[in-house]
Amino acid sequence: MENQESLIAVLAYGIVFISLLLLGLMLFFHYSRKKIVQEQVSKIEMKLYHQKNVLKATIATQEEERTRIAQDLHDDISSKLNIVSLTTNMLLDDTTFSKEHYKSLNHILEVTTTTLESSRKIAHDLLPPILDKFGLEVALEELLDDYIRTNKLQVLYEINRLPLVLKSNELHVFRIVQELINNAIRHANASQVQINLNATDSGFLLKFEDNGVGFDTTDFEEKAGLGIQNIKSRAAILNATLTAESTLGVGSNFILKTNGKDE
Amino acid sequence: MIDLLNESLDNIASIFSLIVGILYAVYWFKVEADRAFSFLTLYLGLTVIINLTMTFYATHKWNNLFISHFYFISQFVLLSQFYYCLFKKKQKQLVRFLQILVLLIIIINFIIDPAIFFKFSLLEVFVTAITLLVFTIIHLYNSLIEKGTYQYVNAGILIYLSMSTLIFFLGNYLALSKDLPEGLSNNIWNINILLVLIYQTFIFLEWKINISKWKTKNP
Repeated sequence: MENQESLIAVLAYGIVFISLLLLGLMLFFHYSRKKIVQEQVSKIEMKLYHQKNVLKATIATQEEERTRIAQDLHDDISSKLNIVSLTTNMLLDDTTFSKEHYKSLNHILEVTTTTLESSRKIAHDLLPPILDKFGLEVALEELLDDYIRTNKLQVLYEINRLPLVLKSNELHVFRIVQELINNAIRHANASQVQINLNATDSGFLLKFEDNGVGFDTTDFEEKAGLGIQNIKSRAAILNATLTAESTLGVGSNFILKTNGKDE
Repeated sequence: MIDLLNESLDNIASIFSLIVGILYAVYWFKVEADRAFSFLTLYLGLTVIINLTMTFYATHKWNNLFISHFYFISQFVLLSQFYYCLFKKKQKQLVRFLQILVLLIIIINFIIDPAIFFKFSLLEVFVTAITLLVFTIIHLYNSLIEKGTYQYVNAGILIYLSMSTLIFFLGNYLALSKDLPEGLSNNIWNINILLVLIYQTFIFLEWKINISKWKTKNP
């Protein structure tokens, strides 16, 4: 009798034990899968973060190079061309030259002046000096006025001072606006753009509207062109997000908004 | 012939356990041991001592079943301490909670039925084994992504505990049943000895692969 009882106890304990063990193993597999998936996700996030950093570095280098080239243009080429122009002017004052010589000298002066003008323009494009001297607000106004002066594009704008944006980041905001306008002209064939730039608690809010051909926003995330890619990278540096809305044939709408405190 | 085989298997397991225990004890002195290693060494040492005591009682034909309580309880306390050292914050709390719960269950079990002292307590075998198995599975889970420590020991505990617990459930039944053929009972215990051998092999592998490469203390 006692034997049978103990055998039943053995069986009961055995069954419960094995069931619990199996349950434990099942839970283990369940949570393991979750953990592995999580790990993979965080790995991909790390990769994206790394890529973003690379892009940031690329843009920083690009700006550095631009500054260097602009500086070199100004210091080496422009200053030397100025000397050529001055010397030519001095020679022109000399009355002993023949008419032929005067003609040549005048030609030299003309070429030097146009070259000086182009080098100034190139340097200006590479690094808007006005941005450094008078700040983002003035630089953007000048940029937009330049476009208005061409008469090909109607520009409506409202630019406000951005007290929270660091001086070193102003160039990125400037380039983003520049790139957006370029896109609107080149790809969207827009004839009118509207730009609003306002300060917010976290930094700034940029609204950009054009009346161009528009594009398919489903491709915006994956198949963005070089221009948009550039804007996005700069947005990442500014800790801002870029969103786009577009209707084919009606126009596009870009909104750039800073996420948190501008670092 | 079969008796001789039984005898030698038992001896091999005992000697192997002794060697592994000595290896760990020697390394405990030699290396800068962490707390987990200390508990593991203590556990191995105690296993050898309990094993020897049981053999001593058995050779005198005395009832040695009461020693099993010391074995199961000390195994539970030391191994759960071992896992306590390996786990992270929240898991440590779980270990503490389960330690207290299991010991309470065992104490209450003894109070309700004191006669159980001279038998195997199925409840005791059950709760200690299942709790330790929970810890082994948690440790496996922890080792999924990071390189885990004591992987071989953990695998050994998982295999040995899950199988031997089933055999220990049979312990009382085998001790009580006089009408069972002699060979059957012995065979079942032989399986247990084989499991001990496998278990000790895992612990030995842990030493061979990992612990033997630990940096030794500067004299």
